[in-house]
Amino acid sequence: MIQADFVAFFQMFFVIYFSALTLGYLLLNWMAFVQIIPYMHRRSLEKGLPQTVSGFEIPVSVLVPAHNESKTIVDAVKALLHLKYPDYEIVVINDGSTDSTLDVLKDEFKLTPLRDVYWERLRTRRVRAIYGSRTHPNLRVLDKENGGKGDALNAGINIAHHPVICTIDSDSILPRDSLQNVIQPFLEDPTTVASGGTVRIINGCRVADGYLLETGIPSNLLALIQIVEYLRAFLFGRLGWSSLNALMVISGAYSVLDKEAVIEVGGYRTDLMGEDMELVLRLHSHMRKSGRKYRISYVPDPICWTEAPENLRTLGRQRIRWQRGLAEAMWLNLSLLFHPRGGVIGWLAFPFYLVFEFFGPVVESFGLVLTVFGWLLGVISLDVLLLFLTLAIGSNLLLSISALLLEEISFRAYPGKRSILIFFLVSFVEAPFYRMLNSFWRVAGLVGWAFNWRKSWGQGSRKGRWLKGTQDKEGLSPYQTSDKAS
Amino acid sequence: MWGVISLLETVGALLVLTFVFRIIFSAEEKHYKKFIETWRHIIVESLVKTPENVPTIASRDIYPLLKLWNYFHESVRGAPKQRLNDFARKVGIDKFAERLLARLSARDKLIAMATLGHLRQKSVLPAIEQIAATDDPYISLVAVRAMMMIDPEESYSWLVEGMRSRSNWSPVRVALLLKEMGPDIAARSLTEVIQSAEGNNLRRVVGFLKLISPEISLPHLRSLLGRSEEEEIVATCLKTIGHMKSFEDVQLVRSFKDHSSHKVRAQVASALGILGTDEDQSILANLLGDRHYIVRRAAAESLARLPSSSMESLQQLATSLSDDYSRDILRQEIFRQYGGAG
Repeated sequence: MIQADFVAFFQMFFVIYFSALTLGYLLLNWMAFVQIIPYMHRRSLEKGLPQTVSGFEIPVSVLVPAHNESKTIVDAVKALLHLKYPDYEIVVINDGSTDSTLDVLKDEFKLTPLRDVYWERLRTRRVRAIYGSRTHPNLRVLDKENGGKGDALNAGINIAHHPVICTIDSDSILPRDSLQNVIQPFLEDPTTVASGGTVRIINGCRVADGYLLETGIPSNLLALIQIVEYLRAFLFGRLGWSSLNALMVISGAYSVLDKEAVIEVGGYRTDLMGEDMELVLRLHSHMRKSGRKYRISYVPDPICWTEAPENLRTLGRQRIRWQRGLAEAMWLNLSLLFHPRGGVIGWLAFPFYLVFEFFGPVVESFGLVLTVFGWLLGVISLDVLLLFLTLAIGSNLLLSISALLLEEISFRAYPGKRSILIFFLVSFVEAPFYRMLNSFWRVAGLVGWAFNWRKSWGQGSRKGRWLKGTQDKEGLSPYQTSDKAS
Repeated sequence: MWGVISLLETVGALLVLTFVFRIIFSAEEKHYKKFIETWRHIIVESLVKTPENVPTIASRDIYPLLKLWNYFHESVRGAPKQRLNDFARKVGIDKFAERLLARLSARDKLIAMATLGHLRQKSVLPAIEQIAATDDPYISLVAVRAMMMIDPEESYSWLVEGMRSRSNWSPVRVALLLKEMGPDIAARSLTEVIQSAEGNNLRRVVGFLKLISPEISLPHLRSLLGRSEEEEIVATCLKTIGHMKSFEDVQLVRSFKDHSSHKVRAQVASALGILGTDEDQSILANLLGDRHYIVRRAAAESLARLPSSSMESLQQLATSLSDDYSRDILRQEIFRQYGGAG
């Protein structure tokens, strides 16, 4: 009798859980559809006409933290120097690199030491020197002791001259108009404190000298799976929440922030893996609690292309790190949950993330293990097992195909009809295998966070094949953002 | 079971839909490429003479044609604009645009308004006025732009009212619109708005004064400096006075050197770098010791810009300063201006 009750409860729980998950994401998907159609209309008109400069564009300080990036940093900075934007400076922060990062920058950009005096509004590790470029007046390099990405960004904020900062991962590939696109929310609405855009996967694409020449489909299955995953996470996940001003995450790979707002909340935390998500949540929390009008926005344009891991070991580590970052960020901002002034973020987005992103992997992993063992032990019938698997796989498949449709009516970044078929087939593989594997990784991330295990999980290997002279690049940059698609 | 079947059916339907969209969009893209190639030549030809053998325009080609025509219209200046208008009327672009304006799609309305604005099609003003009243800030601003192009006198009140009350209009787009409308309209509208605006509205529009001629904007700026105590407004006015190189206002600028807001003091320091004389060295030297970094930095930059400033004079000043902060910031500037020699 107890066994039958348990099975019934179990069955009901998972039906409700997966139905709520699918419904929640379908609602977000619907909101994304509602948003993206007028957005594309505007875009169609604006991109089709000559671009004019008003003279009222906000000057931006682009901050590029770098740690042991000697093989990629020059191409990255060169690409940044060609961004299409009327008024910006670039600040590269060499965060205690032990390779020749600083030397290659010195050689390539003719750096000379500056006697910069600045206001240390955010405490950071010791700054050794600040350099200016003799060839590019809008480029400075800050050399400091190693303190991690958050510390490097804080140091960059201290010396940034402009009111808006843009943080960029040094290994990202950026379209020339990316800054122009991602800054739009600041130009449209002066209450904007942060904005981000869509990050896409570069594997399979043709790149030269830091520029994306042609999009393509990778041959590696894991990279393919991540393309679908990124489409889902960005296009409808973020666009949907953004329409409610309840965006929980802005990818640290490319984010634009109001410098004063960041300083007001104390800058980046330096002891976390998910410092970018934590900052966004802290901004929400601070603004909500102080009753100030603000916006945190998302632009659906692809603003940044990044390499996805192509082996399970690296991917697993990345996902463990992301989940840990999510847990840290949510835990530190738990006061936002159901706060009387929490608004949509406190009453809807935060609880949603808590149930489906924080605890979701636990429910899914636990459910799978319990179901399989239950079935093997004869406690659970084949019907229940099939129901569980169908719900898990079906909901994932439905969300993936919705994301493909959304991509189809908006950017169509991947060429040919074949790409749709490939992505669809990949979704089939992803749903039963990858999703479950990812759930286990994410549970490991949660366990790591709960027991405060070592934080060096970010190291891994990536190929960096597109970067000039980097065929032998080994080791994932420790500055890989924590939440590119979480 | 039924749930599973309907789930799979939905997935299948979405997949088919995605494919259908891809097929349609791919075919359209191919067609547009060819279409644009053909029409680009025709439109370029229309800039010098009336083109012969203009192909018929299918309804699916109206939108890309209007977009292409608008692109040319916004890329040329003077007489060619009129030739483009003549060509548009000859091939019926005006009629197509009117048709699109009546459609529900925002995409069609936007391109139609841009086109009819360039064509100065007066008959559509009432329809565009209705669109200008909508809540969407982007659509309403495109509508007001079109109205201003069609009949600036008739539509002027829409612009003024929008600047006064539409807090959701993008400042950058308003600035572009004012620039496009020319200095007279910009000056008139800003004068009207500034006289009655307060608080947030005033903060929003005061920066636009730099778009108009100093003869008109300077009296407003002086008056605002006399009546407003808001730091944002005072700082923007001082910045604009500096930007306009209004040397006669140097005394007015100096009078704000002890303002309680560091944003204002920073703008005083910056403006003195443009307007100041050697007499201002002592004011700037004092500001070098300000407790706010941005004031100190602006003062150091301005000291280096004073007419008789030289590396020696700045070094001499740096040596004479007793405050470490003042000395450091000035030495930084000397280093910037004169390199390693500082």
